[in-house]
Amino acid sequence: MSGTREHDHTHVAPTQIGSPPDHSHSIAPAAPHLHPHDGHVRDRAPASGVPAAISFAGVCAGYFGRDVLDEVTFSVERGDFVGIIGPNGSGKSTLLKTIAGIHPIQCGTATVLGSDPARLDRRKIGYVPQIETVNWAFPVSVFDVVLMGRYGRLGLFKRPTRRDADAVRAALDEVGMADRGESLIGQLSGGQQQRAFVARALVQEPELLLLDEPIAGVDAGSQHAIFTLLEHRNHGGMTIVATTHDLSCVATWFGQVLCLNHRVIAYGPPSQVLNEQTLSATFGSHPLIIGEAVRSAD
Amino acid sequence: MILDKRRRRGAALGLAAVLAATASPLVACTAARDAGASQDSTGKLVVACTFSTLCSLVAAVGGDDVEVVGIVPVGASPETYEPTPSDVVALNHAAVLFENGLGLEAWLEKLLASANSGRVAPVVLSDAVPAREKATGNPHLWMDPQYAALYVHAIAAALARSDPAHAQDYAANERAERSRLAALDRWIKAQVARIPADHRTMITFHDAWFYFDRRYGIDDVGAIEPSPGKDPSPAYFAQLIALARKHHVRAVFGEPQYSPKLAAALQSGAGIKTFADLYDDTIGIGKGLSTYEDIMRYDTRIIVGALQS
Amino acid sequence: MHWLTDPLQNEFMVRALVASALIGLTCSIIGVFVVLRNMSFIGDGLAHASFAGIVIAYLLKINLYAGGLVFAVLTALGIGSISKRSELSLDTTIGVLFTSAFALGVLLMSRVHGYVSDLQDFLFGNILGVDRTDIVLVISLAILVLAVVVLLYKELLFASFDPVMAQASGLPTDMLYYLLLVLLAVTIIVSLQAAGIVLVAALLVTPAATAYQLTTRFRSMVVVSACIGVGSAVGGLYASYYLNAASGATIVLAATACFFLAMALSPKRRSLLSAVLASRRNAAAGR
Repeated sequence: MSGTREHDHTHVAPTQIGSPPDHSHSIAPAAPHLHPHDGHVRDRAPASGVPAAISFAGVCAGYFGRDVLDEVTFSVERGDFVGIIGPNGSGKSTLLKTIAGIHPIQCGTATVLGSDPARLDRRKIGYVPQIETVNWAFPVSVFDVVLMGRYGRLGLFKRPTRRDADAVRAALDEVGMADRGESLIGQLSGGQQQRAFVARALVQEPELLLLDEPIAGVDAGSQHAIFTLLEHRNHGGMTIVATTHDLSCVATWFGQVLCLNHRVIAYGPPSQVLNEQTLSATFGSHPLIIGEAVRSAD
Repeated sequence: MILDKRRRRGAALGLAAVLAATASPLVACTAARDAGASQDSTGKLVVACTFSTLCSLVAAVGGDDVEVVGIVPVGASPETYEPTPSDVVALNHAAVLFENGLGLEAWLEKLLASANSGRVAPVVLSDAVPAREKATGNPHLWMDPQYAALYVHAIAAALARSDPAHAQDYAANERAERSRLAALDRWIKAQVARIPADHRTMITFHDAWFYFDRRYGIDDVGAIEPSPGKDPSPAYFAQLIALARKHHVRAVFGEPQYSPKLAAALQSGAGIKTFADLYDDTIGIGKGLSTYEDIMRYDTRIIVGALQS
Repeated sequence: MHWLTDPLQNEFMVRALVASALIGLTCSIIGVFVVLRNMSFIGDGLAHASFAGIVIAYLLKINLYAGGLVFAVLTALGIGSISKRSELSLDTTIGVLFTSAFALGVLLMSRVHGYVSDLQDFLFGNILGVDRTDIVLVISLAILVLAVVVLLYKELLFASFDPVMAQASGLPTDMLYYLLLVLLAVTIIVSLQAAGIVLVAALLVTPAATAYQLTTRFRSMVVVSACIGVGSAVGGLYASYYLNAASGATIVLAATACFFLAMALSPKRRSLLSAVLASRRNAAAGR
């Protein structure tokens, strides 16, 4: 990847950018090429001998070639708590899907938990997708939904056992929904539904947890509950990557922030990444967002 | 095109002249076609008839002097037929139209309305049969050769009216056909006589055999279809099976244009071993079944063969 | 109990009852997926397209069932792949394709001499003419559908409820979708012969829609739908026997009566439906 300066930068235009990314920044410049020091600032040195949880190098992906993700390079260590921010259409969901192995990669290399994401053991990854993809018409209870998280480890033709039922109850307890097990999923509020889906991911006992917009449309109480449990799990060693729109949350909860706009604009701790220059490079100049984010980063 | 006013006017006139020149032969042709519509290019009288069995009788009387155009194709049923636009065209070119009547061709009225009905004269052949003999309203009169002879007489009369020049031919053909029909009648009688008296029962797919059975002394126990195109209800079917058992019916007769499944169900329900296809509303394709006489002889052999055993 | 046993004295009634009960069973079970996954349109279209398949099979002089089945399955798979690909509403494309296939079938049939498959039979079926082969086929179909639904119950549920997550969990969601479509095609073809398209379309939708009003769990929805499917078929057939009416019509009306009864008797369900709609609105608003 390095030294191939003839890369064409024009086939993907990052959205909402007034001017092209300025590579002369002192802080975390956009890195289309793999620099010797990996190109990104990180506070902690990687634990020696332990392979990265996620390692992306020059990855591109999209529906018509490279239109969504273009030369994405970053790595996530085990135990990190990473938030991915970026404007609409910047590829946040797609990035998560490529990590989860459900969206194909057109170029570059990606390693998740030591293997190719398309081939890795699904049980090690908990994925909480955006809520819209669900078919709400289905008459299923919260318990039924969380139980679905155990199907992966059950395999074909096997019926769920008592151990699975216990795991479901424990997960529901953890997300604060122990009393809502028998409610129909369609009858809950957005926040409660989101918590149920988080429980579904947790019940798998994954090593890596991926969440796509976990707090969008969710009431403040549920937001707090979700982040608290995520933080708790992270302290317990779970690697967590989440995308979000909400910049104020990002500053408060996450250890690392990745600014994405088809490419990695910046990656590092919130205090370093959430400044005016990076944010305008990511979102375009939108004073309201930037002001709010900068304020919460202090 | 940039033309000045004078040139433009000239061009317009020229164009009009060209159009008139090309159009007039077309107009003349159509007019000629309309006027001489009842005669085809060889001068024959063009005659339409509704379905193939009828057409066979018409052709026998008309002979070489007429061109017969049939509407319902061979193999299709006249009772459930759906006319097409080409049928309208065919009617427009015919001088005479022969239909059976008595509700057999329910679609004909609308077709006549679309066609240039002023010219074509419909002849209802069932009118030839006296009212008291067709009191049941069943239209399948031609299945009785004696009634077919009355049809033939009506056909000849109609043809002679439309085409007096050949009246002699039509009369001669009529005589020949009627003597053939008389011979057919005698032959069928002799054949049926070979069936043991207690074997003379029939169940058919639809109610086309009423007059044939009446003429030759066969018990027409019933038909699978209560009326043409209508499926039997479970209760009706159960009654039919009971009737079949009661009358010891020996054979179920279907038709090639209908599904054999109901007949099969009737057979297994009533223990009837024999099943065969008959022709009534349509002649057959190939197989030497191209005239009325052919199918009547064929049907008779089938019926006698089935009921004799 | 004479009224119960009288019709059974007739062999054709016993066969009709067995066939329609089994058809009611399979259609109403598959129907649960059809209704919840919004595939009613596809089901109806497949039934129409299969008519062309049957006629084509006749012209190619191959077994009608086999030919019709192959055609329907290929159409189903084709529809499946189109729906995966196109982001546009596929209703129009499917509508055009299916109606043309049906028209093709009618055209071909009108040019054919002799009996192929009566339009009347296609529309209303021939439940009284059910023979041993039909019974064997219908029983095989029922076993096939029940086996798939029982064995792959949780996979089908997961893939239908949340396809993205199911795929992320390692389930072959595409395969499962195609499997469902193929099952639907097979169900339609086998049921069409005896029951006709009007009845099949009704049995695919009405019992499941009725069950949806009466249950709050997927498993119970399947069971209730099956009961209503069988019940309408048997009850409708008895009704047609005693009312001297067309059996297809009475079965459809029996199922419809159940539907309206369920709608009237379950106000709880209606409030549930509105809650589901409200939460959908919330989720959409939150983006």
